[in-house]
Amino acid sequence: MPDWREFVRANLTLNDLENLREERIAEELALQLEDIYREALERGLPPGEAEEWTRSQVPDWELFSRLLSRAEHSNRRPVAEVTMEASEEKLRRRGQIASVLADLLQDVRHTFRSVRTQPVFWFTTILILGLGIGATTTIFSVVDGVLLKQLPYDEPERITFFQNPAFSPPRFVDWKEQSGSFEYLAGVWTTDLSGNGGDRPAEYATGLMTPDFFEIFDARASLGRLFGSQDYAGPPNRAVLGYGTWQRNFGSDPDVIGQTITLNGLDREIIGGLDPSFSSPRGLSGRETDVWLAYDPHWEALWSPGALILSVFGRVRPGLTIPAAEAELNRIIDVLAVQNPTVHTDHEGDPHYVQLSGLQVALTGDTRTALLILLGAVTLLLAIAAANVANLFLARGLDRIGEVGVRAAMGASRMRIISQLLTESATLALCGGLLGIILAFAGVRAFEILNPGNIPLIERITVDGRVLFFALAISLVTGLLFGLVPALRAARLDISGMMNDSLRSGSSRAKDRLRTLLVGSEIALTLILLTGAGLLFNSFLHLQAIDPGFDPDDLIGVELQIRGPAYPEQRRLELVRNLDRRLEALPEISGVATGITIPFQSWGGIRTGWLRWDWKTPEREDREIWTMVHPATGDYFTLLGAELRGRTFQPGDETAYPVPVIVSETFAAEICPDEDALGQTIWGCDWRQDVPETELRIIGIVSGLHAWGLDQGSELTVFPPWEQYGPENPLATLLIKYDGNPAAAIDAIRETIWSEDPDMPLDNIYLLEDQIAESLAVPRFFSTLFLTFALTALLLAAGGVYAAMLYTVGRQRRELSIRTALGADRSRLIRLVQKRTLKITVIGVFAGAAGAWFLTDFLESMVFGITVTDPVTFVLVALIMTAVALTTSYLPARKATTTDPMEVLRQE
Amino acid sequence: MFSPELKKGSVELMVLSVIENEPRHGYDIGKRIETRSGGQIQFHITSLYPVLYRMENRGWITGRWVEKEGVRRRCYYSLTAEGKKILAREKKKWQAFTAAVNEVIGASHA
Repeated sequence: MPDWREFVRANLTLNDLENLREERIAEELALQLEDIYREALERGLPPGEAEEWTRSQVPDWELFSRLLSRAEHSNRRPVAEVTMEASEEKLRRRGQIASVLADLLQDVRHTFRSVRTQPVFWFTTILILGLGIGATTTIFSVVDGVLLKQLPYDEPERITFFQNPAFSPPRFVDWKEQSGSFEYLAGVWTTDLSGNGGDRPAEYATGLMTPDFFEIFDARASLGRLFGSQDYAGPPNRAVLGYGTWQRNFGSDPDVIGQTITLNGLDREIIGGLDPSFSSPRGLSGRETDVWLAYDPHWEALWSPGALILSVFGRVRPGLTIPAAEAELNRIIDVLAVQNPTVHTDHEGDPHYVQLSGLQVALTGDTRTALLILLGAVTLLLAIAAANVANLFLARGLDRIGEVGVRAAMGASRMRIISQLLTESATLALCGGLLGIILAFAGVRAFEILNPGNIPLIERITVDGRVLFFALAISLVTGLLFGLVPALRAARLDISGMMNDSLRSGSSRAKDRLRTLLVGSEIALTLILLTGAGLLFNSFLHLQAIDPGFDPDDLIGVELQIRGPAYPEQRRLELVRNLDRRLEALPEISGVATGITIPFQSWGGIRTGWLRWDWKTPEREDREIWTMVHPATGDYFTLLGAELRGRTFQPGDETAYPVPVIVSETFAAEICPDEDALGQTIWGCDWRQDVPETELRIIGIVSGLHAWGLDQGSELTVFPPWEQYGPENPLATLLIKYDGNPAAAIDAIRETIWSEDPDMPLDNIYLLEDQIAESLAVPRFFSTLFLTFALTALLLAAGGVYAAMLYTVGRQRRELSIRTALGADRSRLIRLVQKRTLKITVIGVFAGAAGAWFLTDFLESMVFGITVTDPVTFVLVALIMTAVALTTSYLPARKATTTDPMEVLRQE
Repeated sequence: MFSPELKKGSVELMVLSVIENEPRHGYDIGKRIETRSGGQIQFHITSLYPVLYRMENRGWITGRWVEKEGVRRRCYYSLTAEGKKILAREKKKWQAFTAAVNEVIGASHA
């Protein structure tokens, strides 16, 4: 007789079991084989055949060993499951209410079991949901922090901001005297003043505030006191320090009260310090004001209709709405416009109305649209994720429907079955939500790091209770959405249909339709996202490709503060002349020019220059052209490498009359539409007090200079010689071309300037290249973010198509493989299979394109250089989507046609 | 012939009921199920033992080596208390299920 023990030991591999256990199993199997052998002999088989017959009982020892191993390991039920089952039993014995609890417990237990038996399904589903929920939660927390969360003031909905532009003190004073809608109304002029804080000259962001400003924002003093009515008399010389300033610049010295702070050469008495909890609106959206000065709006120094300096805030009376206050104020302005037209009419003589908005809306501005669009985008992403998961649910449907059918047949009620299915999808969704929350923490962090720098209120963004609640809510909603479909199908409980389905893998048209619908919608939604991302990205590329009209390489900008009594006009002129000469002598520097402003510069968010609108053409006709006047020196255009026709300024121009000017090509076209402006004489009105007309000769025309940003056109500008008009301004900017290392150049520049004026604050020295790059940061940020979402969506949709194909092909496998075996052309078969995908894709693409056509309207304000219906983008995106769908469907199709037909038939 | 799915669900029940009254060894269990089902269900060694070990690990049955005079040494399986409870419960369910299945399949094939 063969040694069956030896035979079993030679073939069985149960490495992972204890020796004793393995011994026992081997022994038992050997005995069984011995029985089979004996029986075969008894039946009359010759020993050789009997041995072969016995050996054939285990055709595949490797598989058998695996099965035994699994029986030994995986089916040991987790303690939790056993415990839960025991508790269920106990609960059921306690009556009806407890039995409901038992049902729930049972549902959870079934869910756990499903996790154990289908780990891949669960892993994939949770990952997809986590991605969708994570992205949505991240953007929601941003939207919540920036747009939704209340501002840190008492009843913030009553605070209003007067929309731009800034207002003159006389206008403000009239409003304040006549309007009855406001509990408080106050203006503030925020400007940088040079001061003496600490060991280094510093720029203080200074807020000159009219009475009641602190009252609007419930400010409290932690030191000394805030302003009283007595402080508002005369020039602004009483100061309250911001908490940060008190800490930074005054070493948290409690004796600071009564001391003075010198701003722009004038001493101001410190009477108080603000509580650390206080944030001004400006502080919420960027840099907090450092010092506050009490400013009487009647102060004669600033009492002029032309002093457009005040930002105005108000707190409307309780019970009043902001639109009501606006309406009341505009009725008053109607009257004021008649009484005092110089102050209350615009340049066309119409009443100068105001527009009031809520403070939060005003603070968030353009970001609001961008963020809401992003929120829309991630919601689409979430919908795609949910569709994907619903598809996965359907894909494993065969199993489940068999199971559900059996449970139904065993007497489970519809409610029980629905509740089990919903418990399962809710558990899935909650796990996905948990992953999503983890991802959201990372996402918010990433958002803060990648922040292009101008998203207001960004420091308020956190993953807090509100955000967690949101994540939970969307998890449950998505869970219900994709769990509902199978549940409702189960509710109809067509047992025989379902059993048939499961017993002989027949077709189920309803499910096919649902699957097609899901994949189609995924494709459509993805296309919408792709189109939006494509438009933003395309627009970004356009923006980046724009020639700014100058060469920013090796250029440094240096802002000079030349205000206050230390700088009369003559001194300004001398300073600039000296610096020009001394800087040019440095080895690191190859050229220096001066202007009151240079391209891509912004003085604390406001570009400087003077606006003039009354001109006379060469024919001495009056012409109104809103134009910026920017004094500049001759090397300005040479250093910029700007395209200049005619000539630049040269020695002698600083005193020449008619004043030689260089104009932008856009201004030239306005002032001389029919002939060449070069060499023409024109007149500028009110260039100086008591000088109604200044004669100007156009000596040069500069073209294509985008001074305000790549997305801004070439501005209407007139450049007179700096020597003639520059020193009138308290601001000047040096434009410096350097050789070699910019850091060394900047150090040398600082030293030279401080040797001229040790009190000069030099907070703003920058490379022009950086300024341009910075101006692209926002569009880059949003297009990158959008693109990330769209690519994630594309990945999910591709996964959806793949899963659907795998399923469809799986069902046709038998047919396909037999046809292949019978000699059908393989590539034709693949095309046949793909035809279906193509159909779904084409329908999805068209539906998506139609959706995108309507939705991209929202992108209008974010798109530059192309229209929101840019055909190139639309077509390109549709092609990408189709290509991806066809590629992903190709793999399963090819696999099906290369499978051995015998293999398939054996499995059936 | 039962579908593989049905067999999978009912295997445990069959094993439990075969050893309900007296302990049996593996070969015997397989043979008896085959006989009881009129040859329709065949338990090969490769499908029988994974089931037995799984049930043993779940604590429904327990295997004990027995040596009797004149008979070869064998591992005999008998029901545990847990196994008895499961058998009683599953029997009830199974009867309801087969009734339902017969009704459905019978009706749809009529």
